[in-house]
Amino acid sequence: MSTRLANHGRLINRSKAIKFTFNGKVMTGFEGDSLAASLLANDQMLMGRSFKYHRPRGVVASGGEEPNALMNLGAEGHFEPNARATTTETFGGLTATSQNHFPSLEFDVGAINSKLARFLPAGFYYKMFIHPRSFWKHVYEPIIRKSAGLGKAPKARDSDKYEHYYHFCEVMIVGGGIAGLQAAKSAAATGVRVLLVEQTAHWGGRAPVDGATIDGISAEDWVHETVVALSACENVVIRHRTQGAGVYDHGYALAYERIADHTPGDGRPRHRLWRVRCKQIITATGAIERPLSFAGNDIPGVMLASAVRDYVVNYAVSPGDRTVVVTNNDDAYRTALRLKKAGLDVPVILDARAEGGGVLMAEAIAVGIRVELGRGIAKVIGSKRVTGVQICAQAGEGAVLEEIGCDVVAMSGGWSPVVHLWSHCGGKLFWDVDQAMFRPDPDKPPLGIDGAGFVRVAGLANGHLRSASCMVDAAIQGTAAAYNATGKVKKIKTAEAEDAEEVPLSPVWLMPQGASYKLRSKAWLDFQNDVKVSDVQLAAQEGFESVEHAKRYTTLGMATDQGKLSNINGLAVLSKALNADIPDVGTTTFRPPYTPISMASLAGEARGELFQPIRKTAMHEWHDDHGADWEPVGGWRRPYAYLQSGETTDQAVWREVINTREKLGLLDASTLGKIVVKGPDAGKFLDMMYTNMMSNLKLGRCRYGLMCSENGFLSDDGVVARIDDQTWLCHTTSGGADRIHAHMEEWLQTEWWDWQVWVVNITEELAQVAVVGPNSRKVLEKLGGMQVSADALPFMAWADGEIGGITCRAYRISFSGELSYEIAVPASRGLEFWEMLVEAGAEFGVMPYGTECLHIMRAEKGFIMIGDETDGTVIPQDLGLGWAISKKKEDFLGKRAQQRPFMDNPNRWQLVGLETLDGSVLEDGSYAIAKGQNANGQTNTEGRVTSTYHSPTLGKGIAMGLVHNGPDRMGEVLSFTKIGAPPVKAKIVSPVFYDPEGEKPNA
Amino acid sequence: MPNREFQGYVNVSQIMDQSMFTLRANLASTKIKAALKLAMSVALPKPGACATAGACTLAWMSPDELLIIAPSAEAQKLYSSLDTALSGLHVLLEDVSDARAKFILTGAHVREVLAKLAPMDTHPAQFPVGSFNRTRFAQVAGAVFMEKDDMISLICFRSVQDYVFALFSAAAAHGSEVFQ
Repeated sequence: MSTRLANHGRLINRSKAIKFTFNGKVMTGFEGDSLAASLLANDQMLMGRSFKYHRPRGVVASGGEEPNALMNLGAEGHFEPNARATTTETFGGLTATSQNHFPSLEFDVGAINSKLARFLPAGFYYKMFIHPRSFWKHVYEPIIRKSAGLGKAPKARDSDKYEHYYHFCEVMIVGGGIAGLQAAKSAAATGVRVLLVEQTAHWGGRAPVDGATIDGISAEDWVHETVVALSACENVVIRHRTQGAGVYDHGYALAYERIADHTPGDGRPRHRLWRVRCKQIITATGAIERPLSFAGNDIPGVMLASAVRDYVVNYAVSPGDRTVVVTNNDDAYRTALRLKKAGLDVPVILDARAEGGGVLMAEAIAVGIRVELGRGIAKVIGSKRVTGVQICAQAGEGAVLEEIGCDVVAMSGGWSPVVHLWSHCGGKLFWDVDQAMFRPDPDKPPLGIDGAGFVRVAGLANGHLRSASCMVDAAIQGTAAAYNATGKVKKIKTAEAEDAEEVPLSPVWLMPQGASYKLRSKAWLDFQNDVKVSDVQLAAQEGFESVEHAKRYTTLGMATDQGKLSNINGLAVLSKALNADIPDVGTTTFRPPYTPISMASLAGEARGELFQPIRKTAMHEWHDDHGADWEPVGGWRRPYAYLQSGETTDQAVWREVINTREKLGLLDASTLGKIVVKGPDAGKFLDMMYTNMMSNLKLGRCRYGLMCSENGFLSDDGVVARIDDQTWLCHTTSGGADRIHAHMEEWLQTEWWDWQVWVVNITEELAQVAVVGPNSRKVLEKLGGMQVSADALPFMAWADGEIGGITCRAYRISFSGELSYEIAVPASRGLEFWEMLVEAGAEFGVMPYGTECLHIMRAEKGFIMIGDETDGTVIPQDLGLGWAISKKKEDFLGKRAQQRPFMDNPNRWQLVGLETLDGSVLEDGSYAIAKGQNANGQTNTEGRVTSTYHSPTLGKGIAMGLVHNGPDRMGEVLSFTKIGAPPVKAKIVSPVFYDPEGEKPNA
Repeated sequence: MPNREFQGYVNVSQIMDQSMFTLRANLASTKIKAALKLAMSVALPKPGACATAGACTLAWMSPDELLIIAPSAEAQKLYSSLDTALSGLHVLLEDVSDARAKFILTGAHVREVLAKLAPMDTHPAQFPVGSFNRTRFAQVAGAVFMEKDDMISLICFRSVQDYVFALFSAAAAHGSEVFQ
């Protein structure tokens, strides 16, 4: 059984016992524990079930590479699935549940899959579920979906807070082991800004556990001193619980800080995403121990040798009483020695190497541990827990020589440098035959904007497994990074490290090397996704020769751990099956993030009221207080209609239309774009921007204008006012202000840079109110101030003045077809002006109206709307706006394009009005049905509806649409589609349904 | 609009009594420089910086744009003197006082709070007192003026002032300190 040892534990605080629950059971741990350590201390080795076969799974590792011990943490708004117990800090009140089992962790019906393993080989899903086709959607997928996935998706809204932090520095170092600390020291000596991040809550990495000596003191003490020294440096930021998660182009990196995972509810943000811009990145990310592939290596109790000693040294947790160590290298002897020192039993060390190891082996023999050379494990015995191992010769096929009882197997297949961050942005690797590992190729680094490398690798991650060379390498990389970043050089003394001499490992990719199919089909590569040696061999046999294909076919390395333990072993097996060298098979692609990071950290502050900025006019609050039903328009919120009590939205809209037509309506038109264009060449410029003439617009007058893209398509429209000799004010659509401003600047800056024109977007400076209806003049005259009579301010004129004591500019323009004014006032006085109109307008029947009322009124008048009648493929000529296209002008944007034969052609879909025969409302976007079918067997069409409403003014449905040769077909009846119903008949009519003579706005 | 304020580990408050003008002009032109000096008795700011003249501030927005900030009480007079000094030159001077909102951050950790929302280097060596920068605050455009070591002015568009106030209030909340 696994248990807590009486003494030691370098990371735990025995004076602080804490209670937590696992699957509802109350357990006790110590402050400083990882959840995995706490569980082991409570004899909870079984921590999960595998994905495919639901096999029992125990913890195998002690860090971020853990594939098995995945937990659901917390509840409700703090729920988090797939959390690794090895990287979760235990805290008082923590609640954890295991995943992927039914009905319980101990007894799981899904484990029947394991018995069927013979029938669930690699690529099973692809082979099995392909026929019949229709079964995939209706039968297979729902079942697979139900049984797939480890953790549950959260259901409650996340109740924590998250944020981003933009950090700039010259050198960023990822990894706070001894290499990262030395690299930081060396880089910081030059005075450059250094950021050092470490993913765990502790500095020093493996060195304090493995027991190196640095500068004559223990690694533990050296780490402590160095951290204190670095913390005192002004130019250094050091951060633990912060993972360097991703490296991106041009010195951009993401670091993921887990601030309050272990202190939930303390008011701090849970996670902070550091968005780092630096010149040089050093990855000192260490190495990950490889499992060995032998039968039964997935049974709970089989662990990495390094993890076994981590639990003993760091947490004073014994994973078991009797541990068999199996290895192909010297390092695993440290585990045996450490266990022995803790008073635990090590019945045997199985060293696959015929010659065995060096001084560490001698030490093990000296303390009385039995060492067997050239031996391996044929098979692990046990189901939910290891009970023993069968020993065989590594060189053989698995004939059992001896059986030994044990409850833990500590395995080591050598070490793989963590090259992930080096590779994220394109760093290449080479295969080091002697050490049997992929290492970063310093000649092929990720390249920055200057074509030079911007990432360096230090220490273990760079293939320097021994402490002394690790420190020398780290110092070199730190100094070089600072030099590359700033040109500064300052050399400092490199720490001198010592550890035990080691002899080389001997690569072991399968144990025993001639293992039978039966053994191979129980030798796990990927513990989470249940991929075995036999699966990868089958993939190779079936022709999946590319490592990327084999990965997807077998799902090797596709689990939440992304194959941190399985990749190298898997591709070694693949290369052997293909009879190729490992470097020729290559690796799969490493992509950020290094381990999964929370989605919420990516969102940062952008949630709730900060999810998206909402642009508000000066009268926004008033609208909200008066029943506004909001509609998003170009980043703004505009009232769609103002609902009075008991009204439906339709009823409100129709009331607003009738009231405005008969009495008086107010529209908040502040969102309209307003762009001032000024200069000696402004007239010439606007003649190019608009299809019609603007240079000859008279002072004090307004003109409706159209803007096209250089491809001739209608892009925006609005009223232009001539302010003075050199100044025009251009109104744009609400959604178009920023776009049209940028469009003008682009032409001025890139094509007509020598024209003397300045442009300023003053949209937000002004609040604008449309005062509309037969009583509009009366209310303005009542407020008093400037002259607004038909003579003083005729239709399509503007004037500056004052109304009700507020400075304003009044435009006599109409988008409704009624007598209408648009009054612009400074935004700071917009609300005051609006309220004044509401109060003064009471006796004239004033009511505010929203965007839908605006739309209906303009449609009754046959006025087009950008985005309804246009969709980027429509030219002004299609909309009967040929009158607004100047024949006199030599050029304007879009002119040449409109001369292309398919545009300069009456044979197009053109704007008409449509009236249903039964008075109903056509469906928006419905198509006019034509005779016959096209080449694809689809019904031919000859037009479509672009705007359609119930007109309360006329008491029937009205619509506008684009119809093939429409204007020449007045009176013709077409059939329009209706979803789920027979087609609807509608007659082609003039698009102007209301006041066709246009007398009202001229009143 | 109220003079709102949020008190966190940095304080956020809205400033209402400021007027702003946008001046589009060729800032390299000696005539423009001379006219501005005449009107405001101050030399043009360098790129990325502000120049102050009494209670007024000139901020460098681009090679052909300045933002002029003045107390509302002096704005009319300043506008007239600018208008007079620049008359006859090819410029565009617009009152944008109501188009913008201004906030100030105060406290020892103003740079840190700014760095949560603006993708810019706020280190004193890179962004010393007197610096001015156009940037973004999370999802909206903004500008930053480093007034003092413990005071930063923020300018954004009027329509998103509620968003910007809420953004900085959240970033400045107690408990979310990055350093200390």
